[in-house]
Amino acid sequence: MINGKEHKDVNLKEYLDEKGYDINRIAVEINGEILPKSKYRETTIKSNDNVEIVSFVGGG
Amino acid sequence: MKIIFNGKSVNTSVKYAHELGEGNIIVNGYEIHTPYILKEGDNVVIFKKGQVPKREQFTSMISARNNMDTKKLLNASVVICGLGGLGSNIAVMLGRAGVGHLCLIDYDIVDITNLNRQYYFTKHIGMLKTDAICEIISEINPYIETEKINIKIDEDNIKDLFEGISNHKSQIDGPPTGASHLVAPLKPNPKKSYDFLGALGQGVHCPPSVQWTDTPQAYGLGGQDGKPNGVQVICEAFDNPYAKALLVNYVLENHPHKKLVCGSGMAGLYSSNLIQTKRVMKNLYICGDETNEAKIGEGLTAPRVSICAGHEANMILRLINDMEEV
Repeated sequence: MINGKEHKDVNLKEYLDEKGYDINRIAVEINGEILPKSKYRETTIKSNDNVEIVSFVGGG
Repeated sequence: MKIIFNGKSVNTSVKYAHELGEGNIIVNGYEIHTPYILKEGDNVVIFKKGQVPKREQFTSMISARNNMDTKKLLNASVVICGLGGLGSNIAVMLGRAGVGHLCLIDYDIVDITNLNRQYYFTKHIGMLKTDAICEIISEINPYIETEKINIKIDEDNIKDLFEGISNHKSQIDGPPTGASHLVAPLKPNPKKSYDFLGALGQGVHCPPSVQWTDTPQAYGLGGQDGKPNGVQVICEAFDNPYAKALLVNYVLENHPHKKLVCGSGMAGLYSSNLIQTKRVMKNLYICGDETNEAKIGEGLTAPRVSICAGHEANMILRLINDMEEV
């Protein structure tokens, strides 16, 4: 599951690129644990993983 | 019968609240205007309109309408990162609520373009935001303990900054909740403060300083186990989305037991009702519409920024009171 939607196995970095995420504006949690940015490239999301991707917008 | 009267636990045999003294009467957070029969455990504050109470009564009186656990508030410690439209309003709201310790971080000075939404006045133009907001809070409640850190947080200094805070009063890695670890307010240790900030000197826009307001003896919460109080909540209140993401990733990776409350999406003149509080991760709450970004043609105004700040401040007060759900 990625942000509540089912998804097939995918490399995280490829998924983020495909969806147009700016890596410097996001935080990613996998199964309740924050994932360091250095691990995005090597991380494969499996179908039973629960992934939350949060993207920040400017203003304050 | 045991009640709390003007912040102190007392035994009383009187029947009615108005027999306790003259003045306006607040019972359990609500001002009464008709005779009220006292019950065991009631929290009663009686004050005289137009008078500033003495120090011993100030805390109980200023919190009279909160109806919250005053000890939890006094022992609470919140780090506010950024003192712009979000942070300046959040700091003032938490100060009004009576949060005992606020660590306020910003590098900038107040300028004319801030006044449309930030909690500053024309007299503050040119002042460091940390100084200006501490002045404002001290005029609301002089017994809030404030710590000022003048720094622009970036990738190179964030580790030292938070280690510095954790070596200092705020104790990032203290007990997860300060509520059960009441502790005497610590005296500032200027040397240590300057040690950790000194390391951050390069690139800092303004001379770093950590200053403390009056030591709040009035709190009367003596050290019980000698352990420092822990920072309960870290509040993200930056303008820049990259700074927001930097702080969130750093805190969640390095302080996995801390709760983090953020703002994201409050620009434009869109509906107030789009702004929400969401618990998006175990320890991460986001307030805002998560969509409307400040950009060319999309400004920031006092109402929407303040609504978002209100969401953040309310979530922080809820967390201080052990309410983790939004």
